[in-house]
Amino acid sequence: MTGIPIRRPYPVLTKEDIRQIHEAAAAGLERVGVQVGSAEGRRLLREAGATVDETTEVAKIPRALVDEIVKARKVRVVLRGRDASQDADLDFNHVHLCNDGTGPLTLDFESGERRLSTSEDLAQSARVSNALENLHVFWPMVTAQDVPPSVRDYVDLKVSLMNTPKHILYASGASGDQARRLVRMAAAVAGGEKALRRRPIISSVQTTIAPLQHDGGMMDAAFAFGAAGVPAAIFTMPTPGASGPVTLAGSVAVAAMEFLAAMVECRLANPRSPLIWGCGLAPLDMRTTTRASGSPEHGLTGAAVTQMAHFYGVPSLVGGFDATTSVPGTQAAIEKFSQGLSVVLGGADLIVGLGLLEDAKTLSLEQLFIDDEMVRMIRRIADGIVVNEETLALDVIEKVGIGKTFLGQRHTMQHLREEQFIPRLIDRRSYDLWARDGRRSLEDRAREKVKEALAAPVPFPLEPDVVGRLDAIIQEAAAPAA
Amino acid sequence: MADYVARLKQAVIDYDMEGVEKLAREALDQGLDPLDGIEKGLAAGIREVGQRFGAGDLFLPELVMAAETMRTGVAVLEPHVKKDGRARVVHRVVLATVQDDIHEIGKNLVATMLTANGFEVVDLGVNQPGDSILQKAQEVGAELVGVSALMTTSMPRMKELLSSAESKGDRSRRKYIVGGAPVTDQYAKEIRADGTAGDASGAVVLARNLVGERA
Repeated sequence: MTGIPIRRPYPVLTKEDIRQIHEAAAAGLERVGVQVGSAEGRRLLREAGATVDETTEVAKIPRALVDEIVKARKVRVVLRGRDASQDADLDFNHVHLCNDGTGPLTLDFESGERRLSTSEDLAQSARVSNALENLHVFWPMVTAQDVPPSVRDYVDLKVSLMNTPKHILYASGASGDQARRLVRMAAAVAGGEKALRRRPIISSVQTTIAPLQHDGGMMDAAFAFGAAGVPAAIFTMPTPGASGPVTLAGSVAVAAMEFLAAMVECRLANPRSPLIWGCGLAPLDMRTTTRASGSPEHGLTGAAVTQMAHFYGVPSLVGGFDATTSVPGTQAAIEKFSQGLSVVLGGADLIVGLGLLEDAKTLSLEQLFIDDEMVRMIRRIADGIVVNEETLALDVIEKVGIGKTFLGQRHTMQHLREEQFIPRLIDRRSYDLWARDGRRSLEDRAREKVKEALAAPVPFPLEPDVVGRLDAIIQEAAAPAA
Repeated sequence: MADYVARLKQAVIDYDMEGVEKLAREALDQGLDPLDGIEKGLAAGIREVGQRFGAGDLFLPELVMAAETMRTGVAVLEPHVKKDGRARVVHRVVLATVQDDIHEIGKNLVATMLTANGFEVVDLGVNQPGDSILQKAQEVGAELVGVSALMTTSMPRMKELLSSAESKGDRSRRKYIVGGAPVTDQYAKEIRADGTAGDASGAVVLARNLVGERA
């Protein structure tokens, strides 16, 4: 199992806040409802007692139904890796990190040019991710624009499976058919559909459309994944000030309405379907009209949504370590660190955002290592200060005495690695040593790490016959429908 | 005997501060050549620990404990090295904090790092008048003298020491390095020191260059 243990979360909402947000969301579902694009979803809701208007596709969901679904037996979500040591148990007590995904652009590692991303970029991002200490789940970082759109989603999954043994969180499935094909690919690798259900090596991200709309294809795909035992993250993302109230509490309530409605639909379709509440509440920047994913509000709401998700008995998947800037550097570092701190300390079960820039659009391989170093620093803060007889070390204080050093004490050696953050990229050498060594920046040092990572072999490579089966499934998708 | 050499080396690598003394005595009783015990055993161990420190796999506490283990072992073996036999090659360094200054954390780190890298350090402590430093360096046959100052008010003592060494014709006999938070490359040049370094790792590189060892 992987993950950062959370000794003591730093909540941003009080119990009373949580209660009030839930009250608003439940009342909103009764009074306003959500638009449900999936005919299957509307049927399930209607049969369970919701008021459904087939013309507008709006479903108003009674509070009792929401409460019944929320109070039902919890479904444990474990994101399994092809390498079992990489499993991520979303147990509410550990924080897991995932890179950002499906970016259309790449900063070319050799030339620095910003260009459309390719399958080779995706393969490289997976191989670099394998080298990161705190990257537990892989989201295909960019999408392969060197292959036709009809097969792109499948190629993205295949390239990811070929280049990393970590669990793959996958943002696709625009229809039930597409989801079933992705499930077949995962099953081909896992050793059949039963094996996949036992150890789901992929999970899906299904986005809702704010405010308060569920795309039909997206929800049909979520039902198909649920039927196969593949975890689905329902990703809600109202933009405070635009597609949600500018007040963060209000936008969290909108996100809660979208998630709760999806949870009711998914659980009515498959009572044991593993669900995650995904959320990225990044406000609209009112000067530039961009989505401010590098904003402090993004991290703050990620922590709040984590508390709400746990209240509903599901793990959270939230944005963090995002940056609005287009290039690595100081702005990226500030933006990423501020959100990362909020969501790690907030105990988010799964955090997405590592390695992309420009609001999850642009891949930078160096940024992956820089972000990993930030995670390592924040992890140290999350670890806190342990106070007990051993750590108080009065016996050692006595042994060393006045004016002597603690350096040569076994106690120092024994506790050093857990007590001190030990840098991998941060350079703490004195000026003269740094200058003599070429005055290299953090980004320069990250480049060296990327080169090492790209030279390393891929662990747990797929067998050639498995790759063959994946290719056959992709071929089917490429062929025009009969 | 090869077994004792290997065990002494391993004692340093395992930071066995408590067990090394007994092991060294036992080795002597069994007829181990003490010079082999030091050079092929203890010193080989500290070199390995030093390399792993340089590579970033080990940290300062481990280096200090290994150095302490080596020091304990050397203290047992050295008195038995035959005076007329082949001599042990050691680079001896005298370190001190200058007069009117009692800060020694940095100097102690330099002493630790130099010891861990095979230098023999004679640490005179704090608040040391220039003449006692020069006298001690002469006595122990130091190749290198390192002085430290934390305060800008005590820094001029470094210059005094160097002038005094110059007038005594001591500059040709050994090298003089300076260090401490306010000391810069430029200041070291101004007072005509043989060098300075911004941290203890840098001091090891500097010391090696000055005594003609490959860094």
